[in-house]
Amino acid sequence: MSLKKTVAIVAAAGALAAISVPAMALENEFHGSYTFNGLFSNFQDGGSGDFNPAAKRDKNKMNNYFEQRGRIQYIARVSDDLKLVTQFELDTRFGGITDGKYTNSSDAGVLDADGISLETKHVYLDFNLGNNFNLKTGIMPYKDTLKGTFIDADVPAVVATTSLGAFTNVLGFSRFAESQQNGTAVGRLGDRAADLFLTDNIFAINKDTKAAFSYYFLADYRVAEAETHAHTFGLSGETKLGPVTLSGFGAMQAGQQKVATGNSIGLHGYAANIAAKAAVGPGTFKTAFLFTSGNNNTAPDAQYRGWANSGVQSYNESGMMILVRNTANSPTTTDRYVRRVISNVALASLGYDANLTDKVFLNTNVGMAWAPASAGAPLYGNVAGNNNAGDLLGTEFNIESGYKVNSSLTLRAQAAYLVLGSYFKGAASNSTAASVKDPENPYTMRLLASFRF
Amino acid sequence: MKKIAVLMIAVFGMAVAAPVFAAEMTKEQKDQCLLASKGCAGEANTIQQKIKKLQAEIKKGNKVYSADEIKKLNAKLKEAERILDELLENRAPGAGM
Repeated sequence: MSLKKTVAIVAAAGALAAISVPAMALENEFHGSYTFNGLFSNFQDGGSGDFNPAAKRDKNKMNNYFEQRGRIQYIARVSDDLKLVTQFELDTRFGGITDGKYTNSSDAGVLDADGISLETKHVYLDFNLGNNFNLKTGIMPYKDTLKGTFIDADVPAVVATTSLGAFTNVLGFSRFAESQQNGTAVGRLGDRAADLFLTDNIFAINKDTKAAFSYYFLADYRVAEAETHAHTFGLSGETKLGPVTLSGFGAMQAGQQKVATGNSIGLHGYAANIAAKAAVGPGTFKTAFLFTSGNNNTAPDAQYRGWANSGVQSYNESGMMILVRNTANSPTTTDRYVRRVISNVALASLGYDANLTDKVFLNTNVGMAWAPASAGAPLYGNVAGNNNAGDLLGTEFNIESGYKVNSSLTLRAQAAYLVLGSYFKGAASNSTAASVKDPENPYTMRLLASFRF
Repeated sequence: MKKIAVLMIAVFGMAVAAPVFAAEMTKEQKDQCLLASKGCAGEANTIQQKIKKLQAEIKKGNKVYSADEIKKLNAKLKEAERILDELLENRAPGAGM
């Protein structure tokens, strides 16, 4: 072999190796988080869902318990245009849970641990087709353009995003329930299910202003006699005016729900919000108002005027810890609020998030909430038909102080107190006509350590 | 002559291969792992480190990166910040709002 040939072969092999090694490389991304949550509360009990203060006595003992949540995220990034995102969750309450989903083992909060507790949070494929089209398939997070008040949840879905300059279109489909879930229902797959069709049209008018038109169609046809078709139309926007950021939305609903008599109830819910925040001094001042309609009609075949929704929502900008669900304040399993399902509530909130130093912060919030529809208000003295006429759910005060140990670790202490309003007057569970008692004001105190990597 | 040629090729080959494994970039170099998920062998960044690195690369600006590449890095920074937010706060990414 001549020297020239040898050089050519070696050079070619070298070039091939140089090209092929990076092309086969996969970017492995591991991230995760851990939160420790110590709770002292007269209403939070490790559970999730709406909390009705009227179901409590006038004097209650305090729960004290400790929870933790670990999250492990792995992203396999093949290229800029293709990645698989997975995330898993491990929830534990000290002392252990052995019922519900942990029936066959425990959540590992017991002596010698050994729990079986790995939960799926996200598993989805995210890929681009060309420069303007992105497709996601799998179990993914989705939040609406209505600040989460219709849906803010992890859902099994297919979501397509098309970006054309300043315009972005999101088209999605989620099937989040099926009558065939436990294999005992008769019929075929897809015949009786619950689906969500979603469209978000977002216009970036300029650098500081965005507007969106959204349409969500919720079709729950699992039970023939209770089929629901709810159409939600929403307009939303956000703009910066000097130091102030303004945002808001308005949404209305149409549709129908079948009732057992063979007739239908018309759906006429609506919701609206306006919010402002601005950098003031060492922090951010924020104020907001949310309205979601309630329903006073109880007779069959009437109109339903309550805000229909997915059942898993959020309203984080309120900063509330007791009144309305705020996922920022539900870092572990405990997820109880007076309105965990956000409907039939009007909330005015005011807050200030202060960064006292690089490491120390102090956040305070006040919120006042009303029930727009009080036909089903708690009973004064627990006398049938004696529903409270008052609309005021209560006024919440909360405070959070925190210390950032470093960019990964933050320690926080939180406290919240709700002064119950006229809606709950004389409605304690042990209240009687002869001895009228108000339910105890709900409170919570929490100590948190959270780590992200 | 032959020996010298082989030696030179070997040296050349090493010079080509070395940057692929190098973790630290000089001021003038592009970070191919951040930019194109290439040559990420042995990389394990926390999300905070990734954000810092992306910010540093974006700062290098037009001297090192083209306008398109800067746009790409900015999109990656946005994505990383979203991951950071989402990890603790249960906050799903909004549909652009």
